[in-house]
Amino acid sequence: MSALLAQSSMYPTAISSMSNSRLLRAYLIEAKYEFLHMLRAPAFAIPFLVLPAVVYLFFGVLIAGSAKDAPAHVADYLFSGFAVLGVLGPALFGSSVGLAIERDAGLLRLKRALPAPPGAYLIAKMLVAMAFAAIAAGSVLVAAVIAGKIDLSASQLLMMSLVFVAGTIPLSSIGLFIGTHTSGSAAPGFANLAYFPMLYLSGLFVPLPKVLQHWTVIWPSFHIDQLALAAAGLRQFRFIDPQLAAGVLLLTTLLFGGLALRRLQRSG
Amino acid sequence: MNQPQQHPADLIRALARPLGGSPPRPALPTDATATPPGPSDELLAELCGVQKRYGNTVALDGVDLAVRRGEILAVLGPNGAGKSTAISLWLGLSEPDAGSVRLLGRAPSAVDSRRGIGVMMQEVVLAQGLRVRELIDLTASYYPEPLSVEATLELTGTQKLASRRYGRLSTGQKRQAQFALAVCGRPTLLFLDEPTVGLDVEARSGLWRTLRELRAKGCSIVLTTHYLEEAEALADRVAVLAHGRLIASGSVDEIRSLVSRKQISCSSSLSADEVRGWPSVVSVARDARRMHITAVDAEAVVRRLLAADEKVRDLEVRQAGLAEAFAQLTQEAA
Repeated sequence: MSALLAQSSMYPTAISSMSNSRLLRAYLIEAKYEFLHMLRAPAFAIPFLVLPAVVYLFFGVLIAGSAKDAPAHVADYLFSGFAVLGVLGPALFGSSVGLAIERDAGLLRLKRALPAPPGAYLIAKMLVAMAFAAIAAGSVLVAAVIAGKIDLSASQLLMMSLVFVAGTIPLSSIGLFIGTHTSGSAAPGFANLAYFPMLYLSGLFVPLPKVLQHWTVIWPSFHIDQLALAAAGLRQFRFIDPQLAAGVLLLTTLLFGGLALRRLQRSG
Repeated sequence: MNQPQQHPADLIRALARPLGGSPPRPALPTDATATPPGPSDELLAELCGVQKRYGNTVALDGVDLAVRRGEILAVLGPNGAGKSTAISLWLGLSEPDAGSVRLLGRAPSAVDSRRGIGVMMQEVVLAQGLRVRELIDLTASYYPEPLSVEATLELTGTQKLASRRYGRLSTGQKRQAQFALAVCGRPTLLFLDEPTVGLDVEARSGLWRTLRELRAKGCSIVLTTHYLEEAEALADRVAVLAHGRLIASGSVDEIRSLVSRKQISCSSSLSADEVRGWPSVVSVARDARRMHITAVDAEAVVRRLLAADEKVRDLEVRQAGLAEAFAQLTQEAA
């Protein structure tokens, strides 16, 4: 202990500034440990990483996949819908519940007092949600390829995968909004209030009654699905213009992300 | 201190040693604290005429308080006195309603100023799944020139906790880990809120020793504590808050001297009326066996007592400790 303190100039009289490389490292380290932290929470990791592929194999392959008079590319449509399901969980729950619990625990307050780089915590949450979403959507993709149920080229799959991962951003923004405005105990309830309607009312894989079909446009999950299908060039499932879908997702990100940021800056 | 029939010179020498219940203090390390630099006049953090209200509750009412370079400042006060509010203002976690706050020459909200501080808060739950080593690595990444993880572990004596997940540590071990996070950035100014709550005696001694070493190397420390013996053992300066106001500030000895009266009690054949007339005697009371004298200059009273009554026995002198001074000051402020 003493040898360490014997080093000269142990405690600086002037504060050094952070170099850009060190600042970048701080963002990366924050994301790295956020990822490790989430990965070590089995209650989070297992359902959201494994369940989408299992659900896809059961409903998308065994049940829907056995239909003999299904239109062309319906399996591709189902793959896209279940991949969006895979993205929804980590993006909504990972951001909202984790953030709300950590706010309750005083961790955000500590981060505000420490010289954590601006936005590093939120960016880390979003990057980790993207990583988990990529794994979850990837597991659906692997299941679909193994089951031989999709008729898409590698480039189509790549484009769709990019949309799934990017689609995490607006969903995470909603999650961050929930996490910054609710307590740790209330956040799962509010996240479910967003999750289940997006799951069942955005036409991802469940046929909707006509009256509900017009309302699918209010759910970001519908727009992610539409963008993914457009990226793969599957025109027969296009219900809105891809540019409009992208615009809605951008607005969702700005609105909910902005409100979350404002709340964090004001009250932590 | 009961010293019947003791030589007057011994009694007078004994007066310099306060009685009371302070626990034994850990030995000072010989290297780092041999010639510690004294506090300088440079101010690292300031509250100037700060007022802060929460609804109808006045948390701070015109408080002026500063932290000097190289000092350990203990901020004391009963619950609700405004200690946490003062710290929260310095850390930029809240804004004053009136007055100004400076941290390392800048507004506390500036990230640049916070790069010079370390923080240990109460009731913070860190990421349960991360190991102590990982938490240090994460926190150190916020600073421009931090200690290495290994150096931080060594400095804080937490090597044995390095590979353990935070969620599996005991309460005291969690506080040790939090302390490691507070110091890993080589802060110029360290804020510690009740740092030894939940620590066992050995861990507390270790933390005290580290704090003294840090101060000896130029790190200034703001400490809030309910353990007055902790403030007495560590602090260069004590600030006492009560009802949102700064009611006293100074060195431990200065705070003690604010309640400089001493209590002398003995068995004596002298009458209370006779002693009451002596210089520096404030009051005299008698019970069936003993006489109790309150005096400002206890040494002079004891000398006269021994001269006036050769049969004086069971002489006892109590000097005010920080705890008594604190109690009296906060009662007066109530």
